[in-house]
Amino acid sequence: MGGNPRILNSGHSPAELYHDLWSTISQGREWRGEFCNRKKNGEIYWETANIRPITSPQGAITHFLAIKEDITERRQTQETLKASEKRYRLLFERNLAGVIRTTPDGRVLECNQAAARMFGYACPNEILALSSFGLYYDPSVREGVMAQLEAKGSITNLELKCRRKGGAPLWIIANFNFVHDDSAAGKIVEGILVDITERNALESQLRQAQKLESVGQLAAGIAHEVNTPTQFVSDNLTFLRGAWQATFGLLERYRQAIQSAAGSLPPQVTAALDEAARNCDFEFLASEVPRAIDQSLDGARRVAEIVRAMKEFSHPDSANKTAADLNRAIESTITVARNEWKYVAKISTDFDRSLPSVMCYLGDINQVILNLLVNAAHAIKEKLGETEMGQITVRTRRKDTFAEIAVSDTGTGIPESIRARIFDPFFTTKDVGKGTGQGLALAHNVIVKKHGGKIRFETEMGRGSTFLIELPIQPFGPEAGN
Amino acid sequence: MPKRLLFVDDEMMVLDGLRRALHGMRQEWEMNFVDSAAAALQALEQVPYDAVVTDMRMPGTDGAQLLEQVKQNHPDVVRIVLSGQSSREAVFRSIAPAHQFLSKPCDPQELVTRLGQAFAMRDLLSNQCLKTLVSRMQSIPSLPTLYEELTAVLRLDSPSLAQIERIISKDVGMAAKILQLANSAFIGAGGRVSSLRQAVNLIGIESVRTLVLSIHVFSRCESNSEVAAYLPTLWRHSVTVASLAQRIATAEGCPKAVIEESFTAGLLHDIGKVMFLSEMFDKYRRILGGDPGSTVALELELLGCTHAQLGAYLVSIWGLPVPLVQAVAYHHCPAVAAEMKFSSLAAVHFADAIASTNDTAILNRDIEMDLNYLDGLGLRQREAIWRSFHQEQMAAKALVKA
Repeated sequence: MGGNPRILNSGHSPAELYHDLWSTISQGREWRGEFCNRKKNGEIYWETANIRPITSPQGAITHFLAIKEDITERRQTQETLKASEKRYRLLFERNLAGVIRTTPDGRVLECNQAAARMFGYACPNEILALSSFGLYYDPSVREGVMAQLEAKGSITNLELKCRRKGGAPLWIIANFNFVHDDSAAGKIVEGILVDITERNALESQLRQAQKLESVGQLAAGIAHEVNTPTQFVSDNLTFLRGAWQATFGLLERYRQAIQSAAGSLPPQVTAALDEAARNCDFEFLASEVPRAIDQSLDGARRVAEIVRAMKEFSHPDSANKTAADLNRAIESTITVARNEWKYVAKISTDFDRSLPSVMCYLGDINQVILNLLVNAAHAIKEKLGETEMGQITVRTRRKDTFAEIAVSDTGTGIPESIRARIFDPFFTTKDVGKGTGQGLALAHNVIVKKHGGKIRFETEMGRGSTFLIELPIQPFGPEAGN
Repeated sequence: MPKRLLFVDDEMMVLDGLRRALHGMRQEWEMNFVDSAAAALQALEQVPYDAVVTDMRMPGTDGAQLLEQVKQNHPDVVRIVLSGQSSREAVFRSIAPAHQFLSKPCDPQELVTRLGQAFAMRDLLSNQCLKTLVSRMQSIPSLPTLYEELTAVLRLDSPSLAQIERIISKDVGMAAKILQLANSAFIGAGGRVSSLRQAVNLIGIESVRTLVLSIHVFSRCESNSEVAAYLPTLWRHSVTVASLAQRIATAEGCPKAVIEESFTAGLLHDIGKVMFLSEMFDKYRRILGGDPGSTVALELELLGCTHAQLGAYLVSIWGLPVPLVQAVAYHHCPAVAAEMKFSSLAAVHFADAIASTNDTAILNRDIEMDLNYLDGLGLRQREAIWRSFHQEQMAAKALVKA
């Protein structure tokens, strides 16, 4: 072989390596290691070396025997493998979808940061301590999922209602694989989870908006149907009122004429007249007929008012912002929602009559006011039942460039423990079927996202709550005007 | 002479209700009730009517089609829609043929007021031709530059109500038309609208856009027509009187509604002149060639009515609020209107008289202040102040021009 191995030093292997090599072989021992060297043509290559001293019979080192193998290729394969492993690890860790691996009996083996965040935990370790049953909103659902996995091996696009840390609902869409895993003895569940809570909330709000839109179209049709009979009912009542006045006046004249001529009339005629008057209870008719007509006219006016309010509430122009009179909109909404509050509360309004028009999506604002009124009525009902009347107050005020709407109730108040979550989508304290948990989430979305406004509340347990909305007015501008 | 009215509705009970509720009007109105458009057209062939009040949705020929035919064949008849259907689409469809749009349920008293107003103004016109001329008009020509400006603004992605209002507040034709629309009950405003800002606001940007760009409710005066040459002078005067009337009403401590009404009344006061110019140009030009002091007398003599009467009839059948109609009708002779108290009519009369003093255009110098009226209101000492407002306005304008 000849030559001093030192000359092979490429500068790519650390000095300690050579130091170690020398001290090993010069002590007569065999050295194994890997070098990174440079070929004559400058190409870098890796080799394993097995260097053994060859000693003379006297024990002196005479030669070294080096057996080398070029391992550049193997080395490269290893590095590629390592890099790929790292890439996949990062794909797991950095994935924005939640990735989770659990055992069939619900032990969480591994999950990534996204999964932890989705469920409201600070880091994956917090979840590892839990049973995956606890991640389901209804733990029994997991049994169904497992049964399906055992039967089919995988499930795709499964929508699941889960539970965040603290109990808030979380909607996810998940793909599950039920597979053998070498590292865990037996089969495991792999899940990829995407948080669709917000999407579901928006869809649900959209459905509500669509429902409202079709109600709006219906309302316009009903309005037409109702307005026609209202027209002739009112016309006829107006006519009857006048006709009764005229008839009654005429009868009075007759009566006076009869009285003044009383002596000259045959007694049987006056007796018959008196009896006829008694039979029809003339005094009663004289006082009640006009009242009956007036009350009916008032009723017809009220029907017209309700129809008008209904049409205004289900504002058809939902695609554009319009300059709206908030006071009027609130009045319409109160009329429309009458059935929701009239058995539990009285409503008083305190309107800022100088409030300018506010550019807004009026249909959405109507919906928000309706939700707040319904919530207020429910809070009062929860506290008082239907035996005693509570009080709802709706106030409007101008505050610089904002219009403020305040809806106050004398209801139960909002418990400390849920105050932080009441604007979360799907959060509800009402019984199943009574509330969608979308009312305040929608209010938040409409006021904050769609209008750049603010919504907040003040509450005191046992005393009631006030919800405050601020909407930017975006007024006509000072330069405008006559 | 009693007026003859024709009511049309496919719902017999509505007709019966109206017949009973309007029974009290039997001295002034001769009323006929028919349940289809065909029957209505037949009735119109037999005797002349003064007004038709029709439902919108009827089997066969509907209200809009009926009124279209009435407009063609009996153009002097006042055409009113009384419909339970108050969607904007329905209203848009009937905009061309109907003068006013009322929605059910409508208090019969409202009908009496609106029609009474229109008939009173109609009686001031001496001949059938003039009635026909007014009743046929769908729009008053707009100044070409303002028309272009408005359509440009409406083609923007998000025009503001303020921009729209600012342009409409400078144009006699647009202002009158937008008020006609806003006073149609379809908006559900309840009360009557005199303020242009309120009108634009009620109708809303999207509807204004549709009305102007698709339905063409405004008409643009042909730029190179003979009429167009007169418009800028008349427009300048109208805007001047509008701002001065507003200023005077403010100074006299009027409530906000009357101040806004004074502006609108000022803008519209000479609308009759625009109508004369656009409809009877050759005759009217001859009048303008004469002595400005005798314009009104010549109008009466040669055309059969004054520009004030002509304009008042138009705004009355278009359903504009009573004070605006009064202001247009009596801006030359405010004492004729019964009430002796400061109103938008008074503001317009004084503003018009003051503004015309300094005007060089014959078109605008047809009026003198009614000093008896001024004394009657006890405002003689205020005149100088009002004149100073006008001086200020003129000075400000000159400054802008310079």
